Amino acid sequence: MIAEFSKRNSSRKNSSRVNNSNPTDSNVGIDKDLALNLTRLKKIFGPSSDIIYYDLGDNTGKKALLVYVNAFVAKDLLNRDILHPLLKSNFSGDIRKSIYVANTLVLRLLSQVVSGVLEGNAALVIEGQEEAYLLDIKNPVHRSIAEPDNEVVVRGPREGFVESLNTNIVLLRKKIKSPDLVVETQKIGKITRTDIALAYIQGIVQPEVLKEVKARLSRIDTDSVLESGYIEQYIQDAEYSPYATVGNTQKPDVVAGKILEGRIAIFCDGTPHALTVPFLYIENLQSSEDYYMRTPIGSFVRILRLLGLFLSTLLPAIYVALTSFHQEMLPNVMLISISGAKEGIPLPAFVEVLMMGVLFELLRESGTRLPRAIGSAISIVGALVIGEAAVNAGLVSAPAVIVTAITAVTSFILPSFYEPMLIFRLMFLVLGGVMGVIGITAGLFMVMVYTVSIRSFGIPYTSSLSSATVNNMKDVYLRFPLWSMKRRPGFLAGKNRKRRG
Amino acid sequence: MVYEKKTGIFSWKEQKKARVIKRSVFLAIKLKSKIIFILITSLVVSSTLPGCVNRREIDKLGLLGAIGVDWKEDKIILTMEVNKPIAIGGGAGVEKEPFIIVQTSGDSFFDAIRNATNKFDRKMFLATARIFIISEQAAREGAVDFLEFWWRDHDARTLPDLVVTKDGDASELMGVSGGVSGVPSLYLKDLIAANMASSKSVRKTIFQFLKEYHSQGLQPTVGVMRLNSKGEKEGKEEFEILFEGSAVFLQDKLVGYLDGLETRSLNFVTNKVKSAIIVTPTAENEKASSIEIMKSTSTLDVILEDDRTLVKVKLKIDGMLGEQLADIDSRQPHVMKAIEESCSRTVTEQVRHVIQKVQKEYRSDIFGFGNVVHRKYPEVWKKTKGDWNNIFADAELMIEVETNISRSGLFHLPIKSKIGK
Repeated sequence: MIAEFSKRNSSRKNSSRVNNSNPTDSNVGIDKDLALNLTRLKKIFGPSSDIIYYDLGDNTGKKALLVYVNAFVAKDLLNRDILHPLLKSNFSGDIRKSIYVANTLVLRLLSQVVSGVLEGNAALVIEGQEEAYLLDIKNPVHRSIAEPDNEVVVRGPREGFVESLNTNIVLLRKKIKSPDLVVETQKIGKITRTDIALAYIQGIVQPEVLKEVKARLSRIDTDSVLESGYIEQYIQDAEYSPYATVGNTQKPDVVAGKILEGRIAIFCDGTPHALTVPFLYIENLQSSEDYYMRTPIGSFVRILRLLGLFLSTLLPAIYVALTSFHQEMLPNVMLISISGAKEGIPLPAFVEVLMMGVLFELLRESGTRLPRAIGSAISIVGALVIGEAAVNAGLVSAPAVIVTAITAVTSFILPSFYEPMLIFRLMFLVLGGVMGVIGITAGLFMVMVYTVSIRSFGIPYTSSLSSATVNNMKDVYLRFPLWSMKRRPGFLAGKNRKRRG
Repeated sequence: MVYEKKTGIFSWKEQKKARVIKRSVFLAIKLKSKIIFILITSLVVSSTLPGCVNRREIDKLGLLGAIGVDWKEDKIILTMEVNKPIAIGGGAGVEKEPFIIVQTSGDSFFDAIRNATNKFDRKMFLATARIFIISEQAAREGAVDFLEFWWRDHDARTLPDLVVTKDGDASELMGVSGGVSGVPSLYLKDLIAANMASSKSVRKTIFQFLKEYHSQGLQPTVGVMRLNSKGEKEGKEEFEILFEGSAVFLQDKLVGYLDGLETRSLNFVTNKVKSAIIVTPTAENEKASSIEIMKSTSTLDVILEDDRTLVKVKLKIDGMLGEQLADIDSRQPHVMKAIEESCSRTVTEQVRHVIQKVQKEYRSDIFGFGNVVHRKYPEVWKKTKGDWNNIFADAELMIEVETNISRSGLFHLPIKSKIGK
């Protein structure tokens, strides 16, 4: 079974490698002459000092060459399971019978040897044979599984993805132990040759979406993929949109939940962020914890997030519109107190709020990239100096600071929606400052039209909000009990719609 | 690379390539600059066009609290209370009074308001006005004329409470605060709201007043305010404001006043009583009982016959025994019934008094019997509506009051009771 799987894997690897490698050495076979192979390999690898060419000889005097990247292979495995048995046997016949390595491939082309070695395998070339053996003794170099910093949960699994593709796929397989979970790997990036894996559940995924994702991945023509963000930007739909049409997460349980709804996960080697497509508007409002908490609490949190979305995008605009255009809409006493606080402030409300908003973004940006120890200093300076002192000095009115603070606090309720909300907040602020409530209303209308017009991999961005069937609405404004969500969202899932019953 | 190409000799292919690149870059810049130009222009235009018309900073407004209208020698005199936000909401030691009184005059209301800019540094923001006071003299002249501007202007709202003065000018009432709130307009507004517990006045916004003015089957009534001296303190006379009674209008002209008790009876008829205390004699020694009205429903009826008109008022009162001085046991059904009947008698007499007074003295249907005729005899109404107030003034009267007292507070017997001892 394993052998079959690896063979299937290898055939795909081979084909992609042929496409991606340099044409000058792609067709060169492995020669019977060991010295010639060595010269060719040295020519390909150039003067790199970390490529080790290790000469071996058996008791009959037959020679062999072991090629690997220093420290990329596990030395103890190399010594114990390859060198030890090899030096005791002779090199004739099938070498796989005398060594103890699980994934061993037989190669005929030199280019395959080259890419295999660069992936962390050891290649064994034997004199007099036109076949080389690729021995999988990779040394797993990655950090250990830890809780992701930016997706903290109170209840739910703590483990997060790491930079190793294989580990990430194992983490996912641990969640979904079904043969229907398909993981397809391919390489993207002419120079980096980064491993990309597609994960989906056969039957649940929509075949059209899958086809589209594969087509878009195959069209990527680039020399490097250093982060999953590269992939995201090559395959996303709305390029200049504030909305993200590709989701990302660091948590295996989130990925599992999403692909169980019919989505496709894209893993990228070297990145702890898995991408999920299609990504819809409603996913900004959802969180894995909604489903782990009891229904009323989950629903309450959902409503809180909607409130946060509303406040964070519209509060500054509404404040500016009300205080500079529609003062009569404010309750009398509130008007008096706002007016009293604004007495003697040199700036108009619009400039005040805009300035404080930009200042907050500066503070946030400087805070995120700093080491944690300095980060707290920045926040103290920001809160005390800019907030308190500016009000006391009469440069900024207290209501503007309050509005900015509320906006800042609420904007973190939807972490994945932070950037779009920031852009819309600025847009509404300008509209509200220029045209008042009329501007805000017009802006809301435009945003609504725009949002509805977007698609993510063929699925309308606002599917769950606009297709008002009872089934689809069970996971939107309220999170219905799990037992009542009998079917998967209709716009996402393929043939297999039933969750239970 | 690029620099090499520039200095080196171009092949024709390279030259062509460079030309194509140059042209396309030029085109792209041209196109982009065009788009940017259009964007910037539209932004500038859109930001100036609607912006300059309405935009006003909140701290540049003169927040009007209350406005008083006087009419003297063919001049309109406006007395306006403008709130000082810094003294109310700003905190930081309230040393000065939280308001300024601005008095202006002019040939018309609008003229007078605009004349305020001659002496006051901010433009009046009318939307925050809470109280609109019309002096007795101006009201007798015709109150609606003073409301025309207010109705028409886009800033002014029709929500302020409309009040008429009695025996004095509106300007005398401005700036007087006899309550907890240091802001006179807030004091007056809270006073009006608090007064609803006794139902001894009527609360009318400008909108409600104009609605009643336009209705033919109901004449307007408005609450009345009056200056009251609290006596001297440290050599300075101190004042408070009495809000009691109502002013009776015929069309838009003030024709007379009703006192507090009469106004409460008026409220009984017009179904406006939310809460009231009826003091009524009970038992053989005629000691007083107080009944708190929980709910009162009135049904009006008019019967038109050939030569006479009968107006009928039917009241259903739900009350609670709030105070009882006579030594009787209110647990006994017949005792309670006696109290209920006494209350009904008292209310009947009070209502009869006020309706007869209005019929005799003011000849103005402030109770809304005309609306009943309109509904019940639409054909007759078409002919008689012009003369309805006179017909009403001569109409016969029938009053029915039914009281139901369901609770008696925490005790059944008075404190001094000797029953059962």
